[in-house]
Amino acid sequence: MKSWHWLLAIFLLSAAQPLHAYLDPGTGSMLLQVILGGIAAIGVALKLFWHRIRIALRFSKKHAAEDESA
Amino acid sequence: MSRPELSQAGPCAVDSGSFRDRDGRVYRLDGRIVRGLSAGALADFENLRSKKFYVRCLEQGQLVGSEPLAPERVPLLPQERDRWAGFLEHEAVPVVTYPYEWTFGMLRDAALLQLDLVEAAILENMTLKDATPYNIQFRNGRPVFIDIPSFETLQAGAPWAGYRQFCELFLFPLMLQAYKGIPFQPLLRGRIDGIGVQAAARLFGLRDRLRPGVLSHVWLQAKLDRRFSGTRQDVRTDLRAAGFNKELILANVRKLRRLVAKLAWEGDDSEWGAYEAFHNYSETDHLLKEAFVDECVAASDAGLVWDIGCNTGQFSRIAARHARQVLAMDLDHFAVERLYRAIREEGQGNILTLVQNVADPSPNWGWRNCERSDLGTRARPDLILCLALIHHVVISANIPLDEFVDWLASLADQLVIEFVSRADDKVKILLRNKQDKYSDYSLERLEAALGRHFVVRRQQTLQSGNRHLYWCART
Repeated sequence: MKSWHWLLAIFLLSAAQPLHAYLDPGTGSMLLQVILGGIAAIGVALKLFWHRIRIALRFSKKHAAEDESA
Repeated sequence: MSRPELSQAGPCAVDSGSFRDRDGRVYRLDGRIVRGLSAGALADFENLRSKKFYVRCLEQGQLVGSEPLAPERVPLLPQERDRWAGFLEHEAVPVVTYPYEWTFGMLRDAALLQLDLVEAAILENMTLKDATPYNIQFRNGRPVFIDIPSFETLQAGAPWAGYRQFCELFLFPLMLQAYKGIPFQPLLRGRIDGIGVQAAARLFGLRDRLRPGVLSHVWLQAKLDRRFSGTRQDVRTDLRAAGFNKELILANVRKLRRLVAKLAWEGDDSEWGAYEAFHNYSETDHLLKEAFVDECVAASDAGLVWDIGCNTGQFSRIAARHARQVLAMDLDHFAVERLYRAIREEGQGNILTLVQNVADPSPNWGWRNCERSDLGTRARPDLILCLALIHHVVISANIPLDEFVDWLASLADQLVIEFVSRADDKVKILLRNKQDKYSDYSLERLEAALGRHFVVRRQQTLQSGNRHLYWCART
């Protein structure tokens, strides 16, 4: 696996919050197809998790603001 | 043992293993294979027939022939017939076999066919909804795809739904055999859905992650599976919205194909891989035995012959001169693998190789114990060749001689059997470290057992005096 595959995999594993509402055994396998999909997969992966990136950024800014006001 | 039917639907039976896909059902009508299709599946079939790859794959023998059948020509009860929008009739394959009866090379060839079909379908905007070796059979020494309604129209943005199933039923078994020498057949026979992602991750150790495909398809898939198995996200919709496209599927399928094509297994502890080179009888006896088998099979008029304990298949080849179909089976995986490779190269069409232990044969199992059936139900032999095997069955596998002959007689009307006497080196080796409690292992006992079921049509003792051949037929 190439290094960017790893970055994507680490991001996926760290960004996701596991929930256990019902069994969906194929979900991880579907996401793996994005990781292994080659260069064309980068754009898909970024779009797929863009909202999580935004949430992560907002979360960071909020913390930064809280830190400044403290 | 006869196989129970789930239900009768007029003058035919529903195939009890075809229930999983709700868009169709297989019926067996006196040897004909007919499939009912939902309206959606029928539309997909019409779409499939318009594709170039479908015509090409049919010509190359990669797909089983299928023709629409007018409902009024399907002899089903009206309430059964009316369930379906249309019907197909498929070409029947000679014998239905299962992946846990195949060799490594057979499973790998089936995997490559599966991937080739996915790629060809995707290129023409179709896909395969699943990826199971149970959709593939062997005909003329080559794999052929039989589950035509698995082809469906590709939905924009949809991932390959069969990827995980491909891993569990093709890739993980092949990698276990190739990388670790672990026989895949018992694992596939133990779980109808194959080797699960989490189980595979435990079977491959830390060092195995350096081998091609293990880190990504096993370890990472298991991690992602754990992380996302309970997610409430609609991942299919998310993928579509993010621009998932068929180029991604093609990239994955092509990489998988390269990975599978490189997987190799050359056996490790095969006892019989080179049996011809070290059989312990003279060339004269060898020729006498070949002539005996040749003449008996020719005179038997048998259509389907089982060669149990076939080792290198030399007698399967002789039987194949006369019989319509020979099933060459042995418990030695690599011996059967070598035979498979040879007949594939030669294009020997009517020998089908199987890994099968007569002391532990394929059972009836799966849903209601009818989803997969025993081999006798699928392919009842007219004649069984049982050459230089009985000492292994009685002395090594501890099966009483009488019971073994009863079992043979329950399957076939004709039998060619060889008795290897206690004076033979092969029997001495088997008894070397065992307490000899096999008083039933004698020529007299065999003849008495045969006499309960058969008449001996021909008998010959080889020149060594240690090997006795019988051709028997039902009384």
